[in-house]
Amino acid sequence: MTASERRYSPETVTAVAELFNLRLSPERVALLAMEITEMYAEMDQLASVPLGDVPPATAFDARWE
Amino acid sequence: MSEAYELGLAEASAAIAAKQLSPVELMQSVLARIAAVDDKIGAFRTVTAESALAAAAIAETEITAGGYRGPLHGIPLGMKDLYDTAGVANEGSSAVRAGNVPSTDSAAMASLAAAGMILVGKTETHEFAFGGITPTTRNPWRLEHIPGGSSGGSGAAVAAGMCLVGMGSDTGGSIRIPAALCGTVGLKPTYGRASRRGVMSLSWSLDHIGPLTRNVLDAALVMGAIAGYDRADPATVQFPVPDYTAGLQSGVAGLRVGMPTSYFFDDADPETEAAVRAAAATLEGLGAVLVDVAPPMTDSMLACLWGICLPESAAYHQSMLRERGHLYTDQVRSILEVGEFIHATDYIRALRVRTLIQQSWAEMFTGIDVLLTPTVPGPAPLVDQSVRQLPGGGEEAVMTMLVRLCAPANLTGLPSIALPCGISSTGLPIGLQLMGRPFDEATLLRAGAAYEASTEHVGLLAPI
Repeated sequence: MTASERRYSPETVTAVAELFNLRLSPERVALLAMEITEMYAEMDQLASVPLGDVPPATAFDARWE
Repeated sequence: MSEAYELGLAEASAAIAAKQLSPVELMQSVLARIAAVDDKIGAFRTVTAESALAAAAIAETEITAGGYRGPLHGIPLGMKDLYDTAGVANEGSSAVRAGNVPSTDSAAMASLAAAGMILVGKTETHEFAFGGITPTTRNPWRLEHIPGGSSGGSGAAVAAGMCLVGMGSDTGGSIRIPAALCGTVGLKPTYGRASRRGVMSLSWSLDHIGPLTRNVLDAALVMGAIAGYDRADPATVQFPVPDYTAGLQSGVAGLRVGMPTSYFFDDADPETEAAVRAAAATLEGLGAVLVDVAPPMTDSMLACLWGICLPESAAYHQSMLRERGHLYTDQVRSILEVGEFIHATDYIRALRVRTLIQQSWAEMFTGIDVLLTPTVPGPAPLVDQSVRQLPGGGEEAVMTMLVRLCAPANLTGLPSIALPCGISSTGLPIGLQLMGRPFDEATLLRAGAAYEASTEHVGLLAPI
């Protein structure tokens, strides 16, 4: 998956924000669309890491005492 | 020494134990120091002068009556404005939580108070710990520079003599960054070593708490009081707590010190690199063995950090962002909103990459005992500086500069200590970082103490 495939348009941001009950002004929508796209470009670097069956590093410990 | 506020914790406690200094005298000196310089620095959000003096008087009575509790008794303490402090506002340095007055203490505040420490005030944080700048606060070494963050208030307060210990929290370097930029010691213990109960979260699986102090012994004394299991913090583990002061004089003969051949010195300021390599040479001169290592998976560190931190913080702030979003600063609000858009599968991918990072770093540590690096690649940036010019050309964002060398210890959960190792030509502190094995804070403190004893860099107060 490449960064270009994960570009958030202002229209997409608006639609998803409505789904999340997140109220955004038009100015914030434009800014957020750019920042989300930049963040996905950063995070997509992890897509090249071969993970196989590696489990997530969660911290939950089920001990009661 | 001309004023009591100039004393380190251990020096002050020795004087108190010997009844050469009273807790009231020490508190009066610290409060006078705050009154004299904090209008220029802005380290404190709240100063609890009245209750601090009352508590100091009680401590004095207890000690006079033979009830000395130990080396923390009567010592002035600054708590980052993320820690619950009963009856004293805890606002995360944010208008969003204005007027939030907890009824109970955080676990750390309770432990330190039980040991006799006295709250002198709440120190400023970058809003909700979400940044490395701490915009409310200036660096006491050079007021036109930032103190770092997010525990910038604690770093500035300790460096300027406004408290003897400042507690911080560290999700991507927020104890070690201000320690490096303000010239203090900063100890981020192992993930799960100290309870975060009653501390506002930034990212549950990356958050750590720890002290900023004048010197290594002081950090060891505080660490001994806050370490341990707490059922209320599911990250804490039942693992024996050693006496962190016990081995401080044991030296570093034979200690294998990893020297990174990649990433950690990339794009470092030349003065910073020289100071950190000189520190390594100092340890080598004391009998340590320097071992070249190539830290693995460094290219994934920041993406992994953001992939975990952003959705976890967005979850923590989910309700507040909807109810009081307009009260956040624009910078933090934007970050939280971006966090809302991170897919669950991206978050889990970051957690899976974190597993590989942990495994690969464990393998690296089979050949070394500690890893020595710069804490931050250069000295404190200017206030309002958004990018840093790289020595070889190009630039990087100040946020990236501050976080990128600290993030590995948050992702791996490994303990890490920041120590001052020099002063730049611009008059700003330079810091080194030592990382160690899980729950082996003692080795970091031992190496730090050996370095401190061999140089003049640790324990300096800012010349303000």
